[in-house]
Amino acid sequence: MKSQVSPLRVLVKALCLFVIINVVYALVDPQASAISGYNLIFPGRTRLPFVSGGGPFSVAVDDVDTMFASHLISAPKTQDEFRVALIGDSSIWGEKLRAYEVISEQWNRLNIRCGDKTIRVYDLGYPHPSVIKDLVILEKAVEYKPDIIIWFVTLNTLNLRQGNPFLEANRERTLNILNTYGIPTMYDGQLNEDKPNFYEKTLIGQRSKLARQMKLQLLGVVWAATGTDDGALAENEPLDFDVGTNPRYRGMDSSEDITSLLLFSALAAGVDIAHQTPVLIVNEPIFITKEEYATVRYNGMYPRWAYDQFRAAITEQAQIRGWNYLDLWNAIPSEYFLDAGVHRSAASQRLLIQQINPTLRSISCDAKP
Amino acid sequence: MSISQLFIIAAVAFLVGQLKKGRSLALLGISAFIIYWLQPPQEQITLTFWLPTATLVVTILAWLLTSTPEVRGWKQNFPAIAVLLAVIVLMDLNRYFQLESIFTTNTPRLQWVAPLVFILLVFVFLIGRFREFPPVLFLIATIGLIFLFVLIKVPSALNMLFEAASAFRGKEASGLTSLSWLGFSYVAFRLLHTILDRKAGRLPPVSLAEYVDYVIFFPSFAAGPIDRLERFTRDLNNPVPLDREGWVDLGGRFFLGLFKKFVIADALAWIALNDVFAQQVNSAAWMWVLLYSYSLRIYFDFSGYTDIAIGLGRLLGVRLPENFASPYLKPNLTQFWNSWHMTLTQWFRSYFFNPLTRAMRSSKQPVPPYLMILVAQLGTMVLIGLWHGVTVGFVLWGLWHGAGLFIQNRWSDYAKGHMPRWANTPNGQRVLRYSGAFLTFNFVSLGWLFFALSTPVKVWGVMAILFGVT
Repeated sequence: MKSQVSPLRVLVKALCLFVIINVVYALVDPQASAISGYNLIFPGRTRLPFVSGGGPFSVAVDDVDTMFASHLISAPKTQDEFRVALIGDSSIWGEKLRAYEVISEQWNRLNIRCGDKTIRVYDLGYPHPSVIKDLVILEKAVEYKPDIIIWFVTLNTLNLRQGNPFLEANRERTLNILNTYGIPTMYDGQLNEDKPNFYEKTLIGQRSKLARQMKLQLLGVVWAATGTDDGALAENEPLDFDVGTNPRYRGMDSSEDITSLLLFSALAAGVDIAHQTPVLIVNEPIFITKEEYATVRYNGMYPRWAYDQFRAAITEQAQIRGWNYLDLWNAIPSEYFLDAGVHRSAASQRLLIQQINPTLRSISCDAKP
Repeated sequence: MSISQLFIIAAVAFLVGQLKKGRSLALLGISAFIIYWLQPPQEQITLTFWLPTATLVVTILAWLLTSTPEVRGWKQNFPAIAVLLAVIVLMDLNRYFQLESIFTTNTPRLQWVAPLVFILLVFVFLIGRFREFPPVLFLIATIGLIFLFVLIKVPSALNMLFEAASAFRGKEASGLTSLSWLGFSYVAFRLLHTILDRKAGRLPPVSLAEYVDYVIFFPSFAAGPIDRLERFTRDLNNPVPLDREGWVDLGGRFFLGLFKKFVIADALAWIALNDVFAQQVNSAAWMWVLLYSYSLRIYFDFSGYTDIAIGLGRLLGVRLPENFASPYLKPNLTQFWNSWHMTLTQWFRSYFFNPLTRAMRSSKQPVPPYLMILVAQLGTMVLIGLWHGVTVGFVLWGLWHGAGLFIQNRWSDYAKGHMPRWANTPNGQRVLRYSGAFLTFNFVSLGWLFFALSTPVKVWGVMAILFGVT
């Protein structure tokens, strides 16, 4: 029997459906990022998804809703849980560490009690030193009702920097925070201009984002099967970090004042966004070289003069603004570092936990009746 | 191949398919161009040019060998040879055109290519005057093709060859470790089919254009199916008209293929078992999940490409043979191999399995039937394994399937007279069918471990985890 189907009609109908679906998708703007099999079919991830060195575990997802939906923090908070959210950059995210070695996992294994609750720590670090990026994550983290936020910062975090894919992917959230708190940056104008057009909101315009989200969901199988989310691990090579003798910091020399470049207003905004939730700001440990050049530079990232200015300034700001502040800049010996910057070994995370625990308890546990 | 490349190819196929005259030559030129266009860049950058050129040269030589004097006429074949040489020269001239998006710009200088073109032209002209070739030439061509095939599949042999070539040119050894010769696995099988059939007097005489069209037919060039020359030329000369039903059929086939390949297979690739995952999986259950993902991925990838090829073939009026028929739903291994990569297994049946069993049957020393089956099954499957690559893993994969087919064959023979009564009831048949499909799928999936993992040691390790031995 001959087919009654007309190929031309099929083609026209397919094109019409294609256009309609795309237009409807753009108009409705469904929150596809909230759809996640994590914490439902697969266990939640112990840290936010990030492309580190490529490999089969990696997926480039920048949308903060999608990232959180895949994270362990999206699981319901239990009654006896004292929830601690860690905000920071790659050193907190756990660059070069396995998922079970990250600071939050090591902390949780200690099963520390806080009053009648058990401390559960969530690693919300993300590998990009930017206080604005931290604010976007912090604002999202507040939705998950943390009992305390521990915010790790360093000089590069507070320095004015160019925009990055994370901020572009979370454009509206970023602009909202920048505008609300009047935080000066070099890229808010650029973000304003990058407003997505209608095409970019359609299904076809969103295809790359949706494909990456789909990959993230499928990688839930790999995560559940292997407990691994990153293939770039630390190599057991002897530490031989040449920090050089360059006295300049981003083109500036020691005669200049860098404190005007530091976004302390962003830290204040973070404390305000957290509202009732206490925030503990930690000046994170840095690698301090033992070499003969130690008089010029502390490490590969910072010359001494710049870092000293930063430390003095943040300490002063913390006192003036009444922040919970902990300065751990030299708390970890250099042999615990994986590079000449801020990336630390798994063993160092245990030292860091020991350093922070007393302050955490004094803020959140001991003060309670 | 990317989606955009496939859409461009589909558009070209549509246009060529509309031609009333000169289709064969147009197809020849386009196919020759496409094999250059799709050739992946090589470590030794000029090989990016030389490999597709070698494909064309070897194909022309094979045609000379397999054609009869009646179809070897200079006048008749001059347009085809002119088109092929024009494509070779044009692609070589890309060092001047600098069209990087189309082909490498690091092509050899024209003074290297022009003599080759001239020699080829003279060679074709001179050889065309011979009436018959000595039978030993067919044997040499067969062995030569197999040697070439082995050479590109064995990295150490390849490396030795390039070291020798470098020494000859007075240059430092290049240390070539891999060669990605697009489509050569399939080209070799098509050429061998024509050489062996010609020797057996079964091959119809075809012109150069028809022959090269058959060997490098662009829809099936890179991933099959492996057609037969006589069937292909029938469609080439009398294209299957595209009526309304044909359009619906080809459109459905093409888009189904795209969906299978680029949505299902590429998504499964993210979670399919590999060396990295295998080292870190924490339970047998998850290992099975990753292994099944690999099994499904390889099926959807390959059958997707076949659907695309069949759809594109229909645009050109050529009905390419089917390559898959729901293989994972088959109740036993024999049926699986009758429905998985069917054109490859038919090729091996025609040119290895059947001749081998015939030879054993007619040997003076009687060979027991079970031994005949064992040797033929193992030999065939090991050769199919080696076709994928000359490694221990592929040999073991071949042995795995050869042994499986033998056991299944023996079991079927035994079961014929020993089946309980319930097995002949409709429900019993159903149970047998489903359990057979389950067993077959798992047997085949376990065999894929030799594909998914790089060494047999890793395969044993994963098998141990899968069965809870560790």
